[in-house]
Amino acid sequence: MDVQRTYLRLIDRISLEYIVLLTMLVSSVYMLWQSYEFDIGSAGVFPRLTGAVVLIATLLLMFRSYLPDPLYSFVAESADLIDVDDEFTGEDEEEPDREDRRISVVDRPVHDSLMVAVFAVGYGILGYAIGILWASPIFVLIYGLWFRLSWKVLLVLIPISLLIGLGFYEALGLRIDRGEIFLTEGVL
Amino acid sequence: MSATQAIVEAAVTLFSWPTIGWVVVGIVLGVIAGALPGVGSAMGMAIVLPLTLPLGPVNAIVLLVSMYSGAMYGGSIAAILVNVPGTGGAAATTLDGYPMTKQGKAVKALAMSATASATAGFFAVLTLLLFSPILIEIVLLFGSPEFFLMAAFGIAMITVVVQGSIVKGIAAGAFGLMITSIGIAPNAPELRYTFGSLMLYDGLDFIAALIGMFAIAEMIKLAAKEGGIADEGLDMSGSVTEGVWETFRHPVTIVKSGYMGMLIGAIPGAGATVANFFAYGEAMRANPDGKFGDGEPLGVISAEASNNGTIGGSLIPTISFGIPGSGSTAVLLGGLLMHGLRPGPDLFDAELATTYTFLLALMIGNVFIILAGVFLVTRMGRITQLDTHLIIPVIIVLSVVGGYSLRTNWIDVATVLGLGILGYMMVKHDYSIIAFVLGVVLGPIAEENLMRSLQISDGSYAIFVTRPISLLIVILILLVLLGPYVKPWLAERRAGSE
Repeated sequence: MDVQRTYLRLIDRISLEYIVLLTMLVSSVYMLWQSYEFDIGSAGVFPRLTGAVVLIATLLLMFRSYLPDPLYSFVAESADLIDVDDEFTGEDEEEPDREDRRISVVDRPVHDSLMVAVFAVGYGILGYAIGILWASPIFVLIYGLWFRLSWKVLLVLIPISLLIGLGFYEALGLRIDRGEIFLTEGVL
Repeated sequence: MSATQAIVEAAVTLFSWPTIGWVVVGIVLGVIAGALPGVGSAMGMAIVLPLTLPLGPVNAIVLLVSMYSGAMYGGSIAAILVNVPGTGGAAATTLDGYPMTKQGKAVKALAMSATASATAGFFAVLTLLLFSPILIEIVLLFGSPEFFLMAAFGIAMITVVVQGSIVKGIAAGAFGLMITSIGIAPNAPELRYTFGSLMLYDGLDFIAALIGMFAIAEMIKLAAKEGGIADEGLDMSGSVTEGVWETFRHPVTIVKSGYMGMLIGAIPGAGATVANFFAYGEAMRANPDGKFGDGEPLGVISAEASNNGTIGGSLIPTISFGIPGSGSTAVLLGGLLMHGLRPGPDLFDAELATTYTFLLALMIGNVFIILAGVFLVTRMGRITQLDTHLIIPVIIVLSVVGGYSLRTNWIDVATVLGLGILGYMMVKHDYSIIAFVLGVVLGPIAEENLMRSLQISDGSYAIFVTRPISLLIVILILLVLLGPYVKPWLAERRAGSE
């Protein structure tokens, strides 16, 4: 239970928006700085322009709560040019609250979205190591077990994942049967 | 080549095998993607995009536009049967479509949706075809400075039209543009931000970015939703013929809603969702006696006619200036670029026959939409009952394999997954992923045109305000970005002075 509590406390503290803003900030600062190091000056014009816009917008968003009122509303508030009546669209607004209240729809101790992201990244890494063709059924199996899919469903999904890989292998001649670390010579 | 010659050549190409077959495949795939809530046209098209690599440019684009059209109709299936719009463009359809299902008229509503979608879609594309000579004249007036500014205008429009703050939209759009700087510069032999890795020499692939943003991000989001999309049994009762004839009894609503959709669709960022509600609202205004919200047929007809009308409209900025107005047109633009077709003058000059081929494919595709609506409708309903946890692993596998297939470069797989996760976080906090994707797709074109403009002007940025069309676009950008803030301020001042 302690692990669960620590996890929930950690998740509460992490702001996804700050991750987005930090990603934008770090990459824009790096790109701006690097753009002055290019041997051919003209190659730096576009990244400098776009990097500057990203940097300014990111800083405004990061420090929006400290901005004076007119600037705050410019930065933080929505200014929809075309308004669709709230009477029609209100239903969408309720859903995130309901989702957020429950950690998992399959009663797991970790948020479903987080697990899908972790599984997807793991699948990518495994695909790199042993080849996407072989990683696909493993990914589907682990996914299915975590999300409590029945064995009947898994027995359908696993061959489908293999068939998708084989389809690409045949149609595009894609060597997804070999990995970069294991099975480097390929199997098929 | 004259426009007439091009149309004849396009018709011959379209009706030859296998091109016509790709229209059917595209419509069917689109209807399925549209009918699956959480999938929709943009994601469906993004996943299919790598598979179009072995096809020629014409067949690939015909397949993609047919999917776009099919998905727009497909979105109404889930909206009518289970009260969950398959695409945003079918949101207003739920208001009367689902009550019709509850009244035992599901098949009638689906037939009405197919007929209204197809008829309005047909007329919108026909209008686009008829007006294309004028469009060609306008496009040919544009040079590099104007195309660069149009890219900026497209992003500016999207940041204002979509929900959330403008600054968030600008940040997302500019971030998308910025990451296209990775790799060899288009105008100079300079390697940028590659960290010495050979895998990054050609930069990030925009198709991988599209797949990540539309497929992976959406799947991560979908995972948190309750298992089955529709648990209750489907009542597939009602009459197809009654639905078809009911639709044709309201030609004014179809035409008005279709053209309303076309006009709104031409505004980057506005898209089918906005058109859907506008047309529905107009139908309510024009028919005060209608029982809107309680299974009024005009509600379904207006909503469905408008969303397919947006297809014709959204193609105007996409093929003319390279500004996709929605996620689906962003993928379509990606498809055009992937197959070596550049939006702008080329599509109206050397590639005019190709352009007409996919416009004709859209028109003919509408016939198949009616056929799908009439003959497959009772079977289509089952699609909406698929559990989300069956869809997610399949879509992730397709996305990863599709990403790898683009260039057999692991950076593309990393892009699919990395941008997918980033996209999820952006969606959660109202950062426009459409603006981001637009930036990624338009980045290389924008940079090329910016550098060409600066070469013409010897490095002076004045070129963007000294040419009349450029100046007009600059003014438009300023109006779009500042308008929402200046307007209330002016109104306040006016009220104060009175």
